[in-house]
Amino acid sequence: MTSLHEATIAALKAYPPFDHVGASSLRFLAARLQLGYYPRATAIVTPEGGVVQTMYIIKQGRVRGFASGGSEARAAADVALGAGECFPLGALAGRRAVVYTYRAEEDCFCWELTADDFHKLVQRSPRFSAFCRGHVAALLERSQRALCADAGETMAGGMLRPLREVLSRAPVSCAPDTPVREALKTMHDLRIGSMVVAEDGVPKGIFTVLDVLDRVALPRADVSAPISSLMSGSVVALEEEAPVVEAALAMVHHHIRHVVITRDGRLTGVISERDLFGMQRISLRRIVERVRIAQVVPQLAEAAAGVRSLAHSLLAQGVAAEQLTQMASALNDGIAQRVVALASQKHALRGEWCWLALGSEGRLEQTLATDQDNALIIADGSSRQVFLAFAGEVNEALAACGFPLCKGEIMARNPKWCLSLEEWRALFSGWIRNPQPEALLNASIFFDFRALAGEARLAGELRSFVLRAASGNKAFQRAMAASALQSRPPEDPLLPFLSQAETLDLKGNGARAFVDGARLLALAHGLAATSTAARLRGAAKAGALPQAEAAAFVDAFHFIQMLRLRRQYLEAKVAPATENQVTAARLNAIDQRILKEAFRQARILQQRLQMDYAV
Amino acid sequence: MIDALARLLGLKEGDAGAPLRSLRWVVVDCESSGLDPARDHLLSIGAVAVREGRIDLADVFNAVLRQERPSEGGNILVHGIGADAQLAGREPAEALGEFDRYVAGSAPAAFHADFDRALLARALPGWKARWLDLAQLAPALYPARARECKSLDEWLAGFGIWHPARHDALADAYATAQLLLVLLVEAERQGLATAGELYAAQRNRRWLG
Repeated sequence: MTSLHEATIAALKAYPPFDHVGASSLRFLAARLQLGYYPRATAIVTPEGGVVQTMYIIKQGRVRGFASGGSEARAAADVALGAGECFPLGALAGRRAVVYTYRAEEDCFCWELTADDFHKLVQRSPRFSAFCRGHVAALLERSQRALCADAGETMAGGMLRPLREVLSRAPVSCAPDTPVREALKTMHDLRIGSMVVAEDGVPKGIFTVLDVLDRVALPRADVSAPISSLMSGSVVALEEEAPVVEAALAMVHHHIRHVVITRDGRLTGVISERDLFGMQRISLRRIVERVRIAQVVPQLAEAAAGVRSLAHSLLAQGVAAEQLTQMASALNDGIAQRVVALASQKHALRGEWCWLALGSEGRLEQTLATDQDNALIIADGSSRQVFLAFAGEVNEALAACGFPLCKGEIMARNPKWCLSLEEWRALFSGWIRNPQPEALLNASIFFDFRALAGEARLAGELRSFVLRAASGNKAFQRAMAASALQSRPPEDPLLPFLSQAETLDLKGNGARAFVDGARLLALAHGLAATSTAARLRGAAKAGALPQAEAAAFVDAFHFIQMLRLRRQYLEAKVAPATENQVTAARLNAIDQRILKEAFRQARILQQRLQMDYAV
Repeated sequence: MIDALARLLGLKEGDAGAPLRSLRWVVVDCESSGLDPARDHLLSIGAVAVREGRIDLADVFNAVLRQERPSEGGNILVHGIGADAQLAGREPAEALGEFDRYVAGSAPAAFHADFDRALLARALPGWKARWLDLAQLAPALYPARARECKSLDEWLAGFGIWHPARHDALADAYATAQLLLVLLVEAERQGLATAGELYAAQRNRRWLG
């Protein structure tokens, strides 16, 4: 291998997947590469060129992939590629011609590999093969894993803590010659699931309650025999400095429920499957319990802080954005419900009513920095004053729990948003009949409503009404589509970073395109779901878009949400004004790549809306 | 017979008339013990082949030649080949023989080709070839840029060609070969279709320069 091959390998290793491809595969690759030059505006590979003969890896410069003869509307789906990126992987893997034309946007140098060698590389390297198969999926997984590793350095809790920090009590052990009867009695008295058999502190075996049935009871074993005759002699032990996750892996790997913990080979504790998986549930249970029994607002504020730290630890453990926001939303729902229940006892509320969560809370997509958005359905206008006083108390209590008051006063204490079912219907049908900009803005918050407390039936009736009115009104749908197209996901999210002062708005330029698009699809197709992912999946089921496309949108949306969560939870002291902003320094190469793909998906969704609603 | 004679004289008409793309260019960079090619020793040769407008990473040549006595002093800082590496190099006759086979039938090119040609003429007295000098060709094709760019580094920077480890013969040849890729595309764009026309452009430049 020459120094040139070494330098080429070093350059490739700056980019995925080559940073994870094995050394021998990299040598194989470097020895077969050619380097080509394409000045700006050169077509590098075209559909007319027939079955693709070459894989290109951009060494320097920028390449654009676009559908040939594409109208302007289709330009949304263009692919912008930069240094380190490979193309056209799909066509190579499928041994077909490209669909897109790939053209040099600036003067480019590309490393080139023949199709034959490409297929040999796929055979040799599972990493490379996985990369080509599930391009985006593989990247997502990698990002998730990198996130866990990053977070491990800064977080106090979770699966990366050393085992010694999660051991709560002194281990119970007995000598090998202890009679079985005596060992069982100790386990029963102390209510423990396992007994370590140790000699001079060195673990020799383990006996668990599950062993009682098939080793003692069924064979009618002699309970006066020494425990060493019935114990499991092969102990899985870990040193106490090992991370918690290793114990979890050991349990999965050996099909066991207990792992013995040692310090320098001497017993210091036992950790059970229940301890491990309880770690999350314990704090979850504790929060739920605290909320259930809370009698005053400060107790709920404490629980709300607990939700925040739990979300932090789950995010750091690599829990995906969808599950995380759903869990945080469910807990926050519990807090809000308890706040509403406590306040409702102090006011003489007459008739049926329903407390509504709006906006991101209504969509179950609350991130940390969300203001409260809520409203009330009341029985009739005559009791409004009582409900306004009640709502005022709830709004203040929620603020005390860390959900800031809404600056635009979209809260139930505002007489505008404390209405009877009749009044809500009139208001909503006005917005739908006359979709002025302000009506559309309101629709984007209010039409994501969800019952939080009180009579859910009222919210259900209002939902059916909105769906009927909106699904039958093409002019309203067109206006919503036009409004959904106002956020423009950048073609290449890395571009703003080229001028240093600029940052990227993940919410306005990223998440909003999916949220708005999903809302429109739900309203137009009569779907009652309020979460963006559920709406997109529902729209696919209803035949409004292909399943695969919906799945790609959902992945892309969740990736952007995860970046937002990460920014809000894992980075200390984020100024509220910049909580949805990212800068290049915060994104590694994989994240940059996925973000680009996520923005492309956003543009594809917008393009679909543009065509379907003739905007 | 005529081909062989022409090749000996470095005038092989077949080559001069061949389309640019079909030729195998060999971009050469030599490191020597000093700046006088008539007296100083050849220390190492790096070469990279270009064919069909592409550099083939498998078709490269690299050799450090063993020296009887290592060259000393300041120039080590330039070529970066330390005394130990000089003594540990390959047997010169064997390495040069291999290089002779590597370049056979190909068109050599270099930046400031006179220097490399003079060094190699002493090391391989039997080898005659017509050299393409990128230091002449680049300003001929890009007269406007030539006001800014004189050295190889300036030309590389001008085209944004990134070169991690210059002053290793192979790395320098690789960087120079990337410059050749750029120049070949530009030459075709300007309607220069054969090697002969390229040599002519470079000759004109020499007279002007």
